[in-house]
Amino acid sequence: MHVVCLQENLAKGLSLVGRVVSSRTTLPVLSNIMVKAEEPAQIRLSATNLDITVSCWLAAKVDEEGATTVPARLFSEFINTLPAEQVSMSLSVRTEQLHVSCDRADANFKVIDASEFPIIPEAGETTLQLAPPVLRQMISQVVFASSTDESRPNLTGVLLNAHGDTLKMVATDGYRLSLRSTTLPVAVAEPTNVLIPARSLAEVGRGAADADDERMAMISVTPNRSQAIFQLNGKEADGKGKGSFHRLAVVSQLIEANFPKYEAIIPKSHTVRIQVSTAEFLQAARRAYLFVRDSNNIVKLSITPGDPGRLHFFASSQELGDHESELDVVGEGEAMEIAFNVRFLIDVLSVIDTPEVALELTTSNRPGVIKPVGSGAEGFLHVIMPMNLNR
Amino acid sequence: MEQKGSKSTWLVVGHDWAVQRLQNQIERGRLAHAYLFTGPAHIGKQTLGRALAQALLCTSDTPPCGVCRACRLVQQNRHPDLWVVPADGGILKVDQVRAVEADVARRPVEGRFKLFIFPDMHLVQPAAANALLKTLEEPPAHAIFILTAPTAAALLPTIVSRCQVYRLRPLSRQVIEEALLQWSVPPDRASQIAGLADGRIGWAWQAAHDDTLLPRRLQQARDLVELIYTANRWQRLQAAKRLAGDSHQASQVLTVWASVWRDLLLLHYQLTDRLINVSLLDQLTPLAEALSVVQLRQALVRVHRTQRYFEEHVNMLLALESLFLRLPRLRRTTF
Repeated sequence: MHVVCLQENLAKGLSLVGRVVSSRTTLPVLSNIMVKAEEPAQIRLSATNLDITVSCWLAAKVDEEGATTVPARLFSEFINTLPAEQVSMSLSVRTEQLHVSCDRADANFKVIDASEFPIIPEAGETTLQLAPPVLRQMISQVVFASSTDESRPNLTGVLLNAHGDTLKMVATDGYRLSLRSTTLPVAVAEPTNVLIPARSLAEVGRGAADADDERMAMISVTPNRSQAIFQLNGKEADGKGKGSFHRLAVVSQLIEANFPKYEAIIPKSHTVRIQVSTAEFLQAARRAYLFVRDSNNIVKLSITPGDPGRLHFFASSQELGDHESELDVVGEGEAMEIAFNVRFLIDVLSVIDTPEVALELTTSNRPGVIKPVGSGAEGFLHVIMPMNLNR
Repeated sequence: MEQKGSKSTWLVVGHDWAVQRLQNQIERGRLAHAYLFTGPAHIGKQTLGRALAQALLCTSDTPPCGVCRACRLVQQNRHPDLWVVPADGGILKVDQVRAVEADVARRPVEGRFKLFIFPDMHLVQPAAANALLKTLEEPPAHAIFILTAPTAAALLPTIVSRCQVYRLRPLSRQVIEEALLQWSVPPDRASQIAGLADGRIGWAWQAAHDDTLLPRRLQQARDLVELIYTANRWQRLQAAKRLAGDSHQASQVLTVWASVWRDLLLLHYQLTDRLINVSLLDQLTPLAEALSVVQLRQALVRVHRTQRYFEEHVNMLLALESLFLRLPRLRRTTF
C-alpha cells in the first residue's frame, strides 16, 4: 500500500471515525483504525466498536492499493500535530509497520493485519432516501426518549419504520415516548421495520452535521437484517483548509427484540388542550428545574383554560425553597392539575422548532401529549407519563 | 478429526460422539440455544466449544474448515461474533454477565450466529447466574451460549435445565498418544505423556510444550511418598498449609495423588502393566507391599473426597489438614 493525501483531509476523516473506537480488550484490532487505499483515488478510514462502524472516504493519490490497521489514538494525535502538507503513507508487510511522512516528520506505526478487522457490509437492500437536515432533526427528536438500561434491550433502540412514502422513528423508555414521521421523497418498495440502537443513531446525527445538505442521505438494511447502513455525502472542499471528505457511512448493528406496541400508549383523545409559546414554556420549565433538580424533578402544572387561559408552574423542595410562575395560554376544556418530570419537559421542548406547542391532557393520572403547532405533514408527538400528584 | 462424508475439520481430539452429534444438529438446523459441556479439567471442553463456534462461523462450504479467516480468528479468540467470558480472578462476576447481556440482543457482526462461551460457569456469582438465567430464558435466535463446568451439579439446576448437556469423558491413552505423535512429539515422550495425562488432552498438550511440567508432576508425586514417611503431625500440618496457599496447584496435586494411590492399589495386586507413574516404580513398590488394601483404598477415597470438597468450596486449609493427618504412616526401612 502506498498513498498520498492532504493532512487536513486525513485529520478530518480521523476525527469523524475516531469517536467510535472501542476499548474491548479481548479484540485488539478494535482500538485500531483501518486505513484502506482504494482505486482510483481515495482512502477509506474505518473504526468500529462492533455496535457502530463509521467509515469515511477521502481524496488521495493512490500509488498502490492495500489496507492495514493502525492504533487509533496515537495515529490521530500524530496526524493532528502535522502541518497542512501532503502526508505520504506506505505499508511494509515485512516489518508490519506503516511508514508515514509529512514535511520533515517521519513515523513508523505498528500495524495489525487488515484481515482481523471486522468485515463491513457495503450496502443493503430496501434503500430509502432522506435530506440530511430532516434526518438530523428526526434523530434529535427521538433518541433522547430511549432507555439507557441495557437489561431491556428493546427500549435502548429507536424503531425505524418505513411504509410507502412515510418514514417513522419511535423511541420510548417506558415513561415517555417520541414519535416523529416524515414524508419520503421516494416511496419504499417494501415496508421496513428495524430497531436501531439509540447510540448509533446519535452518531449518525453527528455525522449528518458534517454532510452536504443538498445531496440525499441513503438508508438501507443488509439482506440478513443484521445492520442498517446510513450513507452521507461530504461537502466540497471550501478552500479554507478545514478538510473535506467524499462520503461517510455509519453501519449500525440492529437490535433483535420486540419493540413495545407503541400505538396503544398514544392517547386517542383529550379533554383539555392548551396552546403555549414553546420558548416561554421551555424557559418556565428550566426555571422550575432549578428548584427540583436535586430532589424529585417534579413540577406541578395548574391549567385554567380560556382565551387567555393560564398555565401555572409550582416547584418546591424541602431543602431549597419553592417557586411559582405563570404563562398565558389559549386553551379549551376543564381546569386541571397535573405533575410531570420537568426534565422530560425540557428534553422535548428543546427539540421543537415551531413557535407554539400544544399540550393535550385527559386526567391527572393519564399520559399527556406535546405536539408542535403548525408543522404540517412533518408529524411529531411526544407522550409523557405524569407523576403522582400526592407525593 | 475428519468427519465421514465431508471435509469438515473439527479441531478437537477425541469426543467423536459429541462432534458427530453437533455436526448433525448443524446440518439439520436443529441447534440448541445453550450447551453445557461438563467434564474434568483439561479434557477439551473449551476446545470443543471453540470448534462449535468455528463450525457456525466458518465461511467455507464445509464448515468448520479450520483454515478460513473466520476459523482462524475464532481459534485466536478474535472473532467479532465470539465472546469468551472467563472468570475474572476466580469469580465470574455480575458485571461481566451484564456486559454480555447488552450485546446478546445485537445482531451478529459478520455471520449468522453470535457465540458466548462461559468457560468457568461453576465459578459464577449467584447474582451473575441469575442475570444470565434471564438471558438464557429467551435468547434471540442468533445467540448461542456455550457453558463449561466440571459437573452439571456445580451449577444452578435452572441453568442446567436450559442447556443441552454433553458429559465429556477423559480420553483414552491411545487417542492422546496418537494426537501427540501428530503434533510431532517424539514417540517415547508421547507415550510417557499419554500415560501420565489421565485422559486430559489439554494437559498432554501443555506437557508436550512445557518442559517443566513433567518434572513438576514427578516432584508432586514424590512429595506424597515423602509425606507417608513423615510421622510428625506438625510437619504434616505445615505441608498442608503450604499447599492450601495456592488453590490451583492444590487441585493439581490431588489429581496426581489420586493417580499414585491408584497405582499403589494396582501394585498391591502386582498389576504393573497399567501403571501411570511408571518412573516411580522403585519407590512405590515397597509402599504397596507395606500398606494394606484397606489403607490404600481409604487413602484413595479420601483424596477423591477432598477433591469434591474443593468443588463445593469448603475451607481448603481444613480439608487439606484433615486429609494430610489421615494419610497412612510408614517408617522408612533402612537398608
